Amino acid sequence: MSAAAVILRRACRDLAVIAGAVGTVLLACHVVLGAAGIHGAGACAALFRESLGTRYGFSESVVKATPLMLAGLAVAVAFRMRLWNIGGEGQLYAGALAAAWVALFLPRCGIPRVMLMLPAACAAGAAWALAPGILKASLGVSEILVTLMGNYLAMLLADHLCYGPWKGSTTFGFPMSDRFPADADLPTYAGTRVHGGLAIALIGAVLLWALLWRTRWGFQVRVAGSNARAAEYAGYRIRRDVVVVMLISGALAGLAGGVEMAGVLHRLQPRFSPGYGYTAILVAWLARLHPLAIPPVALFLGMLLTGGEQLQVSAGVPSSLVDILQGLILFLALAAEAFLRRRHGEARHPELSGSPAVEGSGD
Amino acid sequence: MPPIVELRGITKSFGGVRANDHVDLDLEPGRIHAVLGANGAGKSTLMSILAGSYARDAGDIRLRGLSVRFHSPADALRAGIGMVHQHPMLFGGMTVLENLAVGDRSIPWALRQPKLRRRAAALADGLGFRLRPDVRAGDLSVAEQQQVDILRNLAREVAVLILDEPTAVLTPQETEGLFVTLRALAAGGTALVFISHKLEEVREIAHQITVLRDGRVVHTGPAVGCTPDEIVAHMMGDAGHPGEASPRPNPSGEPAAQLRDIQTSDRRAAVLFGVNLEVLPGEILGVAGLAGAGQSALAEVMAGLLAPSGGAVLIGRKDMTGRPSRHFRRSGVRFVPGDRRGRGLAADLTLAENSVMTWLGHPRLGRGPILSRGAVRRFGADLAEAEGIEPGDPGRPVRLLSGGNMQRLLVGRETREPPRLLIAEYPLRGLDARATRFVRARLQGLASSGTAIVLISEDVDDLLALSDRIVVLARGRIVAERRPASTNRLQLGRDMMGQERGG
Ligand SMILES: Nc1ncnc2c1ncn2[C@@H]1O[C@H](COP(=O)(O)OP(=O)(O)OP(=O)(O)O)[C@@H](O)[C@H]1O
Ligand SMILES: [Mg+2]
Repeated sequence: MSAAAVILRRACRDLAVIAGAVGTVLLACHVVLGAAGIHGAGACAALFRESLGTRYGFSESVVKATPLMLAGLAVAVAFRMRLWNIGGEGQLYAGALAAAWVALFLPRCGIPRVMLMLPAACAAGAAWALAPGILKASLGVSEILVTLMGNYLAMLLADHLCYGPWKGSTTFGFPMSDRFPADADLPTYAGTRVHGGLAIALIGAVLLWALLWRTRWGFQVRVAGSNARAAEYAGYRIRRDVVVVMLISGALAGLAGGVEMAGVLHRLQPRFSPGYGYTAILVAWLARLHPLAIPPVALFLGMLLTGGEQLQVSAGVPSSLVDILQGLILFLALAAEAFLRRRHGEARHPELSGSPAVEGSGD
Repeated sequence: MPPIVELRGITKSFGGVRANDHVDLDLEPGRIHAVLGANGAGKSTLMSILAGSYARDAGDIRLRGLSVRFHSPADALRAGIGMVHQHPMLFGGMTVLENLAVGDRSIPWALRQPKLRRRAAALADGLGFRLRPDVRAGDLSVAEQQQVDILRNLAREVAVLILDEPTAVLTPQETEGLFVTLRALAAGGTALVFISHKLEEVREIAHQITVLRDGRVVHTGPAVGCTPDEIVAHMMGDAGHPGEASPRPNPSGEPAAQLRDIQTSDRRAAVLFGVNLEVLPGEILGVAGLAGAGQSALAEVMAGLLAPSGGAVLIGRKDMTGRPSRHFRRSGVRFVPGDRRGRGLAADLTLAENSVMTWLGHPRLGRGPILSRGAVRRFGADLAEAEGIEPGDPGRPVRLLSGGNMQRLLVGRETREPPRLLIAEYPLRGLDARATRFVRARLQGLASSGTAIVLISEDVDDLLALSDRIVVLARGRIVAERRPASTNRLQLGRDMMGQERGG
C-alpha cells in the first residue's frame, strides 16, 4: 500500500472517531442535562452551532485552537520520545513573558517588533524546558516533576510582573501591562480575530511531521520512544536527543504563548491562558501524537471552548452546566477514540502486552 | 483416557494472513504433546487462542467435554490452563520473587515473602535452576527470565500447561532438569503442550506429535518411531540438504578484540570477575555456560553497552574501555542480542524501520539528514527477501512477526555486511530447521571472510560443530578453554557445572 493510501485511511479513521464521539455525546447530554431541566441534546447542538455554524463562532474556535495546536505539537514531540513534558503551560507563559518583554521594552528598531517577539518566545519556552531536559539526561531526574514545577514558577512570575514592575499606566489599576505598540501585532484575517499564528501552527505541524518521519534524526527519536534500550543498542545519542527534544518541545509551547500575545491579547495579563498547556496533553493524545492530526483535534477542542462560552452568553446556560457538558463531550470523545482504536487496530500481540521486562529501563 | 482439551476447527486470520486453518488437536491428561512447525506455521497463535490471549475466528474449544470461550489469559488460568510464552512475560521493574507472587492467591498476603521464597527455592532446586530472588527481573539475562517465567507457571499447578519454546535458550543440563519436572507433572495427570525447534528434545520428551504447516495440521501421531528427518519433511515439505561446511582457513593475525581482566559491578546479569579473552579474525570463539553465568554481561561489555568497572576492552589495537556503543559500532562491531524484543528490535516500528535501525548512516538511505521512505522500504524488502522473512511486508510492525521471523530479521540485519567482530548471543534462538542451517552457514561464511565471531549459545552441539575454540563461563569467570576436536558434550557439561559447587 502506498504511503498516501495509508495516510488517507488513517485520516478516514480519525474522522470516524470524531463522528462517533459526536453522536454518542448528543445522546449522553440529553440524558444528563435533561435531569437538570435543560433540553440536553438541544444545548449540545447549540454548543456546536455556536462554535461551528456561524462565521463568528467558527473564527473564535480557530482563535482558541491556534495556541492549542502549537502546544499540542510541543507535547506530541516530547511524548513521542516518552518524555512526559507536562510543563507546556509553564513554557507557554515563559514564551508570553519574553514576547511581552520585547513588545514593551525593546526600543524601536528597523524591523517590526512582532518579528522579534516570536523568536524570543521560542527561546524562552526552550529555556524553560532546558533544565528538565538536562536533569533528565544527566541524572535521570523525572521530567514530570521538574516540568510541573516550571508551570507554577512561570505563572507566578507572570503574576508578579503584572501586579508589579510591568503594571501598565493606562490600565485603570488593573493588574496587566499596557497595550503593546502596534508593530507588535500579528496580522489578522478579514475582520475576525483569527491571526497569523494559525499559519505558523500549520506550518509547524508539517515541519514537525517531516522532522520526525523524514529525517534520520527523527527516526532515532521514534526508535527511542518505541524502545529506549534498542536505541541505546543501536548506538544513538539518546541523552543528547533528550535535551534536543525538550528544547523543541519547549520552543513550540513558548511560541504558543508568543502568538497568543501578539495575535490575540496584545498585553500581558495574569492567568491569561485557560490551561492551554494542559489541554494540549489531551490534544496530543487524541491525535495519537501525530503532528498532522493535531490541527483538527485542536480545532475540535477550540470548538468546545468557544461553544461553551457562547452558550453561557446567548442561551443563559449556567457555567457549571457548561462545564459538565464540555466534560461529557471530552470524556466521550476519549472513550469513543479508544473504542474505535480497538475495533480498527490489529489484534494486540499477547507477547507484547506482557513484556514489561523490556520496558522502563534505559533513560 | 478421554482428552481434557479438544480443539476443533480452530481458525484465525490476521488481516490477510491465515495463521490457523481448521486445526484439530486433542490433549490428554498425563501426556506431553509436541506442537511442531516451521517459523510462522501458527504454533504460538494456536496456543495463544487456547490460553485466552487471542479470540478465535471460528472453531470450538472443549474443556472436559464442555465448550468454552476464554476472554482473557486470566479466564483461561481460572479454568486451569497456563502458558509459558515464547518471549518471557515478566514485570521488569519487580524482583524475581515479586514476579512469582503476582496473581498467586494461595498465600495470604502477610505470609507471602518467606513462604514464597521457600517454595520458589524448592521448585527451582527441583529443576536445577539457580534463582536470584531479589534481582529485578528486567536486569536478568534472557535465559534467566525464561527460567523465572517457567517457574511462575509451574507454581500455578494448572491442569493444562503450555510451554512455547521454553528451552530455546536453556542448556542441556537445564533442559534436563525441566524435563524431569515435566515428566513428573505428566505422571501426576497434567496435560502438557511442548513447542520446540530442537527435535532431539522433542523425541526425548513427547508422547504425541502434531506438525503444523501454514496454519494447517499436516501430521499427528505418536512420537515413537518418528525420526527428526520425517518431522522436518512434514514441516517443510522438503528439507533441503545440509551444505557441507567448507574447511575454513586457520584464524590468524592480530586479535580483532580483547578483554583484559574485565570486572563488572552492574546489577545486571551476572557479574564478571577478571575475564580475559581474545578473538582472532576469522575465528569463531564459542562461549558456553549455564543461564546467568555472565554471557550477557560479556556480550554487552564487548559491544560497548556495559562499561566494565575494571579492566580494558580492545577492538583491534584500540582501547575502547568506557566508550559509548556507537564508537564500537563505528569500529566494526556488530551485536545480535539474546533479548531480541527488549534490545534488538523496536517492536512497534515496521519491519523496514527495524531493518535500517543499525544502518542509519548508510548512503543508500537518503542524502544528508534526509531519510528516504522509499529507500527504507526497499532496504527492508531486500532484507526480508534475503532472510526469508514471512510475511515480508516491509510496512508491517515487527511485533506481528512470529518469533523465528523476528530472529531472522535481527540476525540478517546485523550480518548484512561482514563486520570485523560479530557478537552473536543465541543467534539460532527459535529458528526452524532450515533457517538454522542457513544461519550456521552464514556464520561460517563470515568467519571465512575474516570476521571474528563470539558465539554465545546454549546448544553445546552447535558450539562443538561451529567453534574453533570454546571458553566456558561459570559464575562470571572463565573456568575452562577447550578445542572442539579434543573435547565432548560431557566434558563441557562438567566444566559448566564445575565452578558451581566450588562456589
Ligand atoms: N498479532 C498478530 N497480528 C498479525 N499477524 C500475526 C499476529 N500474530 C501472529 N501473526 C502471524 O501469524 C502467523 C503465525 O505466527 P505464529 O507466531 O503463530 O508462528 P509460530 O509457529 O509460533 O512461529 P515461530 O516458530 O517463528 O515462533 C505468522 O505469519 C505471523 O506473522
Ligand atoms: Mg512462536
